[in-house]
Amino acid sequence: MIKYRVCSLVMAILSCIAIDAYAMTNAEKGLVIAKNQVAKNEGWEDSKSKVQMVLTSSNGRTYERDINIRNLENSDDGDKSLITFNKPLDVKGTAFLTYSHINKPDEQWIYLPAVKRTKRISSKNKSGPFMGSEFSYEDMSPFEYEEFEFTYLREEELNGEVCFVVEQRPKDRYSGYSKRVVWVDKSEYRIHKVDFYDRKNDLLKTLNNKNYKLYLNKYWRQGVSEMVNHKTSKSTKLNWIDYQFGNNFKPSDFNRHSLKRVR
Amino acid sequence: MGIVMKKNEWAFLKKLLAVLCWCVCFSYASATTTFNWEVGFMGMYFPEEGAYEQSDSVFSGRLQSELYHSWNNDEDSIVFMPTYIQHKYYDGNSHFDIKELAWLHVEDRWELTTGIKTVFWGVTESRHLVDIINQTDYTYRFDGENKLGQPMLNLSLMRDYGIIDLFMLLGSRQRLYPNIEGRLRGPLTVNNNFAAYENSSEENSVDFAIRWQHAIDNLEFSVSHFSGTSRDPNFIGLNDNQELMSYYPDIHQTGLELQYIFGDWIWKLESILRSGQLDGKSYSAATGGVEYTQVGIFDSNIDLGWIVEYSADDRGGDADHASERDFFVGTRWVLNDDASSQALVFVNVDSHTGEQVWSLEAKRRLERDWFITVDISVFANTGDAPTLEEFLYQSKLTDNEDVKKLALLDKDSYIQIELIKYF
Repeated sequence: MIKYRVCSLVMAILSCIAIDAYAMTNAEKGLVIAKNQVAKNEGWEDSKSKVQMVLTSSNGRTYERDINIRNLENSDDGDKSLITFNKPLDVKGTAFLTYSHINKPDEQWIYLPAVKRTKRISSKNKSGPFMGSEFSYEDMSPFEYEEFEFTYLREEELNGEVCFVVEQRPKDRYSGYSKRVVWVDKSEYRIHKVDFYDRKNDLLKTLNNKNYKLYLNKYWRQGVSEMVNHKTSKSTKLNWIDYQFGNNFKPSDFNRHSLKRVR
Repeated sequence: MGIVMKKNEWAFLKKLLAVLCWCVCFSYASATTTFNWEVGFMGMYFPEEGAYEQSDSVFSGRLQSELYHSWNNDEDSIVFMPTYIQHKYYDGNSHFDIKELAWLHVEDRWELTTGIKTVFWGVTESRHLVDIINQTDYTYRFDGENKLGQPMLNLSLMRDYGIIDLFMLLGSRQRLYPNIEGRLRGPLTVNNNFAAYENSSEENSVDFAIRWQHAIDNLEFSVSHFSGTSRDPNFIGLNDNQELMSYYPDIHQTGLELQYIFGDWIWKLESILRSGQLDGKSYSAATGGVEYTQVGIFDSNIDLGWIVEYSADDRGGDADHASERDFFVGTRWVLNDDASSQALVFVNVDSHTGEQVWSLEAKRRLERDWFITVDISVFANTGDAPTLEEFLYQSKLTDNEDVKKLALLDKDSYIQIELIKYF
């Protein structure tokens, strides 16, 4: 009888561990981590930030860009984002609107102030570089877990945090990547590092996020994102300045009409 | 110095300025102000001697500034954008224009613009058929992308069924034509000081326009209607100085814009139906085609776009422009580099007469807020430029089907370089 009890205790302990590691496949575990990542960040409603981009060429020359990024949370479909350019001055006033969608391609428009034209951009554009930087349009768009398949790889310590290492494979055939490998910390589900693999499955770029700060007591945002291209040895650093939440943005601030007036 | 602005526009401006000052004085909350300006230096060279004894090269300059002020959490803003253009071969040698001076008020479901502004309508690349709100300014560039500011009231309504724009347009602007020394003109010059109008209020007529735009999944469309003074003049004869006299009729124009996005293909169509332009006859015209983009060709960052369009006008050879039945094939190269280099190369071919326009438009950023644009246009297979006598004879023909309209530009192939400095 005692033997049976010990046995069941062992069984119970084992089953606890199993929820964590054994009962789920690595695909399921990767998905759960991604869902937790999204859930942890839900309810932020809207945000606004200034971003300074520093592009460094392979010979060490640097170029600066200043942009403003506004985001609107949309739990039904995908989030909306509006990026406006301040520098270089020749593109000042140019604005870029994205509606990310979960089960269909994203919609993108660009407004060119010199000719007052709003142009639709085909969704294949997402793999192209954003403003000549090492970030592509898809790197700048919000994460929707429905757009990926996952494989949990391992646990690993990075920047003093224990991280889940998860492989994410985009479902969209227009994505520039075959996969990304993401380091997400176990405690707060913040992304610390991403390895991007090109369509031929070669390591193309690495992103490191640093200087995380907590906003509204709930939402972690990085202060610095640095992307290095291993093939060209060019890099781009984003300095996120002045995050603001609770801007009362409305869907009408994120349409083809507001694109023309936003600064 | 020739001031293009007319008296009534100044009066309107004064009232507007008074209102704007009042608005600014009473605005405290979260105001932001930005000021920028830019200078452009333009050189143009024509390798061939002009058919009508015009100049071989042109140097011109422009100065443009933009003052932006917003308050009330960006729910109110003003933009003031004056521009000054110095050009040798237009009457008066220079002109000052207010491209924008407008107060914008934004609410959740509507926006109101009061003042001078530029509005663009359209989707196609080779022609802008539907676009009608502003007069086109060809004094600095011939590409037709520069506009003169238009005084207006514009109410935009955001609804579930799309965006509705209502326009009350206060007055109209006269198109400017090159003087005797200027290129890209026929054997006769146009008098810029006088124009006749069908409307009894002449250039002060109040015109109206409405546009409904909507998107359903990958289909975007707009339907618009304009009623008022045409932006395109007719020529009604010669004055004593042998100059063409322009006449602006009252027209009605209904426009349709369609855009369908299918993966990396974008299908485009613009079509208009216009009545009142000439002899009470109405006509229709359309431009349609497709744009296809290859992202990151040859494993690089370069995007390569292909554009194929066809333009038709049911007046055929009688149309007052040269794109009556023309194919347009173009390729756009976007390098996605530090300098934002890009180039568009295209050819426009008249499927009936075989006239061709070959063009290159390239631009890139240089050091420290300098920017350069290079434009080359070559007119080919146009036939010889007509003499004045031939031109007068042609203009009396009733059958214009085989007339090569671009023959006027036979000697006018050009290269144009602009250096721009931003501050």
